[in-house]
Amino acid sequence: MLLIPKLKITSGKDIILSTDHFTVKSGDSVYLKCQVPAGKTLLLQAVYFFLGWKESRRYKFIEKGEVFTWDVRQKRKLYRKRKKDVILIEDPPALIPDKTVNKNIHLPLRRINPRMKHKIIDYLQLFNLGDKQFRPAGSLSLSEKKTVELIRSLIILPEVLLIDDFDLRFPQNLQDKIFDVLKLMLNNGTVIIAAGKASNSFFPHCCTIEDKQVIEI
Amino acid sequence: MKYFLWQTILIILMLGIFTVADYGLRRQHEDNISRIEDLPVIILSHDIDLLRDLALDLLDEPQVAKLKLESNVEILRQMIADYELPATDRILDIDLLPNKLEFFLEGSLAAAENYKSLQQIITERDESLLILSQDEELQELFAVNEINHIIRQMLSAGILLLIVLVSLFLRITSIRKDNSFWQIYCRSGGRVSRLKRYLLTSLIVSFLPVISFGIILHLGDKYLPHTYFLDLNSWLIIIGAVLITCPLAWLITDRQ
Repeated sequence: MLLIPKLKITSGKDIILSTDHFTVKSGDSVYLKCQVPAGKTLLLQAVYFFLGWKESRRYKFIEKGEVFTWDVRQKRKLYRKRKKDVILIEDPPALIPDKTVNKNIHLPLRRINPRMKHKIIDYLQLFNLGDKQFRPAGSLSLSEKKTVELIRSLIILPEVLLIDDFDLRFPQNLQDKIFDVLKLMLNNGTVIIAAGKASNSFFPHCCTIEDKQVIEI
Repeated sequence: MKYFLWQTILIILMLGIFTVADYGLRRQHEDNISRIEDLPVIILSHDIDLLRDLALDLLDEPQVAKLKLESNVEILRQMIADYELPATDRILDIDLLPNKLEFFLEGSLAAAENYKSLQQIITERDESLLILSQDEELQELFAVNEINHIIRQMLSAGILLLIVLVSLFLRITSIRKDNSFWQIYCRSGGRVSRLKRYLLTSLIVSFLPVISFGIILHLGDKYLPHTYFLDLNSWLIIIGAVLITCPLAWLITDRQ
């Protein structure tokens, strides 16, 4: 289960976005839809940053009912501390351009057994990337890079998966397969929060941003 | 790899400079020791038995290298032989000639405090004993030795500090260059503990060889005999320090 406290995203004294606390059950997903640039990416980053705290600290924060204020200038510390298994798929892609696709997928894994290697190959072939597995990741297109990141998330099976620009990033012809992969992750208890401009029927819960507030549709 | 290469080249250069400077200091130290060992200390007394007892006491002292006791009769005979004087009883009243005890200092143990303790032993025996020595020159040589020792220690410490700083600087530069790798690693779901292990490895690899080298150098300096020739011992110490400590650092740190 994912517990997000009251969030306030600021840039100095200006408030960019605020939201009440919300809960997402394990294996559930939420879609954040907003056509205009209103702070979807910042919201995902704020959640990512908050989930980087220790569990005890997070629960204490939520119990006290405090507002988690995240200044966008804190962005630099984003990737340093992370205690909960959270993956954020956003721009730029988290791939090392010089290394092969295979090596990029192996990057965060502690141990790689033959079963895992076969799984990776199967998923790459599922998304028509089987023949590109030994090419440098920098030679792939943007949608292919996002697909590689998704495959990597599927191998890791994090507790929370945050996807930015969901409707734009993935190849359109592979949408069904992507949904299958997401279903697999949801069945394993992963919480998925995606953000995009167009509606998506895959996600049971939908929110939007109006007047700097996140509201449920 | 590039940074490791630069680090190795710089460290070899600094060690080379240290070796040359150390050689110069050791040579000067050896010259001083030779000069100290050439300066005699002469004790004169009319009491031969007193000098004989004193000689036995001084033989026990490690800072006394060699010792020679001559009675006034022997001195007279020597003077007659050396200066071809006619051997007659009227030349010198034998009782007026004192007996002589001459000793030379052990150069490697020569220091102002040791010399002072020797003088104390002599004066405690009998205050009427006459001591003849090149006191000023000896004190000067002791002071120069002391300064050389301090300079050598400061030089060693300075070079070690430079090596540490260079290693640390290059390592930090390498870490900063790898920053983008670690950002991607963390974003892709990697464990933060691996990053922490990498940072710890960096610290160990930077400091362990240098600290070990410093300890080995200090122990070698203290317990191994030195000469100003670039003897095998010095090179064995440096090579041993590098060959032992670097694999040790590799064994302790993350080998993945």
